[in-house]
Amino acid sequence: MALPSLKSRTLFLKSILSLGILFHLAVIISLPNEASYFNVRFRDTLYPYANLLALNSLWQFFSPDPGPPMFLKYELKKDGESLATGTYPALHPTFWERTSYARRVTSLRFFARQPDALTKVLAPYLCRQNPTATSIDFVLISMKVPTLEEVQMGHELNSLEGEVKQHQDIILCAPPPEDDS
Amino acid sequence: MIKKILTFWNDFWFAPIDLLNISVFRVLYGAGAVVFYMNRQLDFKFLYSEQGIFPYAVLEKVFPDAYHSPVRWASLLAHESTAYLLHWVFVGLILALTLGLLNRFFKLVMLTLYLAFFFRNISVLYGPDMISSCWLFYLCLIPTNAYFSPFSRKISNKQSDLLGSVGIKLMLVHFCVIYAYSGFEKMKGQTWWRGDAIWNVLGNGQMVSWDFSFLHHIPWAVPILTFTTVLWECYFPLLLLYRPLRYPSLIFGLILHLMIGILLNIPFFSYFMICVYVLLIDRDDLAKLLQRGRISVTPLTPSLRES
Repeated sequence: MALPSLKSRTLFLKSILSLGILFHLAVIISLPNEASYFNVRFRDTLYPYANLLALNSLWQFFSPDPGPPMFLKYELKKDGESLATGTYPALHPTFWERTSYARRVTSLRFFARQPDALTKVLAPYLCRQNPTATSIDFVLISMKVPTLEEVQMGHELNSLEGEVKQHQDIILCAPPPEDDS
Repeated sequence: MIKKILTFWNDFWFAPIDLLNISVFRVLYGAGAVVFYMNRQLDFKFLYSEQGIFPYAVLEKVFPDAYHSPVRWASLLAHESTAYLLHWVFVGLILALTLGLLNRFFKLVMLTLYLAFFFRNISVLYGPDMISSCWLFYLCLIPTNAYFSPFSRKISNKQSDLLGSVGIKLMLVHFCVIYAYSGFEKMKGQTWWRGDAIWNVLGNGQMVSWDFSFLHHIPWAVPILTFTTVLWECYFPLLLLYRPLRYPSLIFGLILHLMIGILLNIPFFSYFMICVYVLLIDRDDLAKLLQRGRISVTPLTPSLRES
């Protein structure tokens, strides 16, 4: 008697797992193709599951085309006078900083895609690094990588020439909290 | 016909699999993940503190629907001190996973913490994080302590259970999906079609530490490298299906990933992808490889050898 019940229990388990497999396959195969019919049609079913488990990547590594180098040039000011200048991320990371540097580059690209994020997130962060600053001027710059032909004609490959200014702004840094004492 | 399909389905997803390969994967991936997330721990202040780039309030105010997850995992990390402590716990759990100390329950705890940090700062997620999301999820489904674990002597059954088999197969399918989409997405790009995409990658001084301008002396190398990358990514999953080409494909992939990892300064991404190659090596070949490195492995269960 025990054997059939074990067999039917296994069959039941396999049936449930099979449904789960089909759904999971639908998610991981369909989701990266964002605009596909199935993705749009079953969006409300597929996305919550993928987003819940962070399985929502589009697997766009250097695609559709590799993006240009990008950084933020900024100048922190106090009452109109320059306090400090810099770039985010730094221009020349050391070998050991490479992993954390990749995160900084990624964050800049993320903020550059969001309409408000540069002014609401990144600029305030840079202000916090220098609490005496009252304002920050910044410009988002993307670099044009010279073509193969241009390098053949003598252009330098990794120079900082070819800046393309994308977004320029000035924001006020939040005033430091008042001392209650 | 239906019976044939059902038999194939049953054999593909549910047949027991010897756990040697996944145990080796656990050790390799886990060791890399420990280093990767320790690195993140050292950058905690910038990534997750209130003084850092993404204070908790920013997540709540600026990105309230970040990634639209139905569960607000990041709310576990609302307090900075708790977050700091939990990140250490997370790194500790990854280390325990590597050493073969975690059962499924603790792996779920590890995944929960992983997701909490994933959603806590979505601005800094890049390749290795995306890959980790997948591998950590599948590791939760699979029993991984059959080999190279303090518990392995007590585990007499070295085969996967139903859920474990499903986890391993899903992981392999996902691995192929990642490669295929990476290739398909590149095919949408003009520079990948034209053949100069690799030039634009290698000329990106923000990613690459070396000067590749010497390539202008051998301009034909650029389109060859570009087209090879796209073709290999698109067809790699198919090459794996054809057994005689499997090992040459894996060796080619290994070389390509090592190049990508070193030249583009993304070693962890390459490493996390390469780790899965272990699952594609025949069990006996893997045992022989390990024995060459003086790591002894118990012989394969007879019933599995027959299957």
